[in-house]
Order: sequence, then structure tokens, then C-alpha cells
Amino acid sequence: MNCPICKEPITMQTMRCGNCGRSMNVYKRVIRISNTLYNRGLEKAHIRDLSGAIEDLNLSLKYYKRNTDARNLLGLVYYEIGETVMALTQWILSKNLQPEDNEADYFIEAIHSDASLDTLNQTIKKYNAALISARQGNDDLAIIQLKKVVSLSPRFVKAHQLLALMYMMSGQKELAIKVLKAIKPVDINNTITIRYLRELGIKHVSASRAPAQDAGGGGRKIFHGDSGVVVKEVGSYKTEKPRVYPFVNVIIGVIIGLLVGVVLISPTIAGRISSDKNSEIADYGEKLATKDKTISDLQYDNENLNAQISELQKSLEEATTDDSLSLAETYEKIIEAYISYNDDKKSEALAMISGLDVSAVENEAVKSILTQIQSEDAMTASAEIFEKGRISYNNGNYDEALTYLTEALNLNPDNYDAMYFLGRLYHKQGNSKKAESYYRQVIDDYPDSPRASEARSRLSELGIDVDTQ
Amino acid sequence: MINFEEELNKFQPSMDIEQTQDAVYNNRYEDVTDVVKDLLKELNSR
Repeated sequence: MNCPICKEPITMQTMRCGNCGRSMNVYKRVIRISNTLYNRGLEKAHIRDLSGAIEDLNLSLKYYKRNTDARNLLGLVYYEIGETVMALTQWILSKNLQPEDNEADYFIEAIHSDASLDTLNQTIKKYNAALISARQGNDDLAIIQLKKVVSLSPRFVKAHQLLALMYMMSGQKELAIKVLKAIKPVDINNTITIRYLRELGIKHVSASRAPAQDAGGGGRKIFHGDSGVVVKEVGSYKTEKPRVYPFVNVIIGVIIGLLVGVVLISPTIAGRISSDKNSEIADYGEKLATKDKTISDLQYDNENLNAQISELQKSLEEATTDDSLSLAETYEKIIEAYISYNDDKKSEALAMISGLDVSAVENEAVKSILTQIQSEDAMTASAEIFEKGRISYNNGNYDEALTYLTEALNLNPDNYDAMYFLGRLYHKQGNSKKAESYYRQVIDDYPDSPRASEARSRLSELGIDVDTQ
Repeated sequence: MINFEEELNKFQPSMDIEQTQDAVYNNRYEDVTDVVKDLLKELNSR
């Protein structure tokens, strides 16, 4: 504080200026009144009676326009109710009146660095446009514009009040109450808000003044003026800073906590993770070894099985290619032949065992059966079978005839009748080569037999000269 | 009962950024200390 005449610094305790010697009583009393009004405004701001705070702070500045704290606080209150430009104006004025050591620097810098300044300015322009629309009677347009404004700036008291008024006038009371209730916590003693709510049937509850005690109980210096009135020295008010420092402390605490976590806990966690990983690796190693052993066992089994398969395949191939009958089958054939023999079908019995390999037969009883059957005259049997073959041939059953005739020839290789009829048979079936073969055998081996001349004439039928070979 | 027209007239346009400069320059009002200062000067001149 300086002497208003000579500008020399003076204190609140000084009665006269040390330089010019003038009485400072009245001057200091005015400043005390300004400070008192500032303190009252600060108390009201604390309990969010922002309208009351604006009133007191403006009055404080009318007493002493260089009351920097009062002006800065006024700017802050304006900012809080959404009047950003008015707030900025107060801070710029504050900075002009006290260029050094002024918290307005912080506020101006903050509001300029805030990316939302443009948005706030646009919001104000929209509010002004809505006001014009309302005055021109475009109520619906005004409501739309105001709804946009309050969504962009939820603390813009004036915009909320105007929107509530528009709702009230259009009969939308519930919406009006909702809008007013939304803005009431920002400025609890705003007379317009209270009046509108009362009009809508909502009673107003007066704000408690209890927080005012907090405002006086802080670390703020107190000094006594001439009138004995306790006046708090204007100092840095606690409107914004208490919001910042706890937040900063929390951030610092979190950072320290994270650092402690990283330094102390991370190695333990890393070690545990590493140990777990090693354990997992060991487990996987064991499992891998077990799997390898299983694989090698399976490979060994596989090789053995493959060997067995190849042996069995070989046996199967041998069994497939071997036409010889097993001993059991040989015995079966002998039994069938013995049954035919007892049924007096001796030639059939003989035919059944004629091509049989009986070398493996060791049983004496079976051997005696074989001997008994084989003792029959093969020629008789051959003649009997030939007769059946001839009848089959005459009846046109050539396949059956072939079987009988072949058996007859097997039993008696000198049976030239069978030989001749085999020639006839193949002759009938168009197999000239085989027919010629049998005819020639009859002619060559049994030239005096009655069948030889017949064979000759048959060869002639085939167009073959008997003498040509 | 609220009179809509009266209430509407109470609402004034908000200052936007472009008006900040004017507001600052037009804010050169006298306070009570200026009056006291003048009184002191006047008394001194007597």
C-alpha cells in the first residue's frame, strides 16, 4: 500500500505518511471497508452464494479498485457461473493495476491454455443468439439453442435460467424444475433461480453459513482496525488452491507407489515368474522324455507287427498259390469216397480218390479204406463213367459230359471211347485244335480200334488230312 | 405471477471474447480512494 499523494509505501499501522506527513486515517478506513467487503464476498463464495459474492466483491472494488484479491476472486466467481469473458476482463484489469506478484497471471494463462476457451466463446455467442430468438418470439428455436448451450456449458447460470423461463412459458414445468435444480448448486442463493423455483412450487432452503467459520479459522492473518472491527488481511484465498493441492498430492502418492512397486515388487514377481517358467520347462522336459520313450516303444512294436504282417502275408500267398489240400480235407474226401463206395457207387468212390495226394495219410484205418476202394477195377469204373459222359453228350450237357469223360480217361488212360468223345465234344464246341488232338491220339495209339476210322472221318470233317502232322 | 416479457428483458447478452478489450478500456471508473485522494489534495492546497 502506498501513500495516495506521494506514492511512498505505508503500512496499515501507520497513522501518517512517513514521507509527506499527511494523515492516512480516512484512506486506510476506506481500504479496510474494501477488505471487509472482500472477506464477506469470500465467505459467500465458500458457501457458493456466488450472486452474493459478486455483489460484495463489486462493492469492495468500488471502495478500492486496486484490491487485487477482490478483483481476482470476482473473476473466478464470474468464471464459475459461466461468464468467462467477464472473468477474463477482471483478471486483465487486475494485472494492469498490479503487474507484479499477481495471481491473475496464473488465471489468464490457464484460461488461454485451456483448449475449451473457443468453445466457451461459441457457447456465449449461442446464448446471445438464443436470447435474440426468444425476444423475437421464436420460442422453439430459442429452446433448441439454449439446450445446446447448457449441454456445452453446464455451469452457465444465466443460460439455464433463460431456458427454464422458456420452459415455464411453454407450460413444461417439469423440465423447468429440472433445469433450475441442475444449476442451483452452482449458485445457491441466486434470486432469479429461487424466484422461478418458488413460482414452480419448489421451496427454497437457505444456505448454511457454517462454512463461514472455516473461512475465518484458516491460516489467514487477522488485524484490528481503528473501529475495533476484526478485519482479515487480504491474502490468497482458498477457493481454487485446495482443489489443486490434494489432487497433486494424490498424483505424487500414486507415482511414489508405482515406483516402490517397480523397485521392490517387480523383481520378486519377475523371480517368481522365472521360477514358474523353469518349473514348467522341467515338466515339459520330463513329458518330452516320456513321449520319446513311448514313441520308441511304439516304433519297436510297429516294426515287430510289420514283420508279423509280412510273414502272414507270405504265408497267405503260399496258402493261396498252394493247390494241395490239407490233411483234414484229404480225410474228408476219403470219407466221402467211402460213403459212395458203400452205396455201391464204386466208380464214383474211385474217381474221388483218383487224384488225391494220400502220401500224408498215416492212419491205418484210413489206409485200409483207401486200399479197399483202389482195389476195384479202374477199367470198370472208367467204363461206367464214360457211359454217363456219353449220355450227357447226347443230351447236349457238354460241361457235365466233359467232367465225366475226363474222369473216365484219368481212370483208364486206354479208354479210347472217352478219348474219341472228348474229340467230339471239342469238335462240337468249335475247339478244332483240341478236337484234332484227341482224334489223332485215337488214330495213332489205337489204329485198330473201331473208333480210329470214326476219328479219321471226323478229321476230314474238320478239313484236316490225317497223314499231315 | 411471472411476467414473461419483463423477465425476458432482465436477461442481458453475455460479453464475448471480442468485447474484452472494450470492457477493459471502459473500466476506468473512480473508486472511493480516488475521492479521498482528491480531498487530501484539496486540503493540502488550502
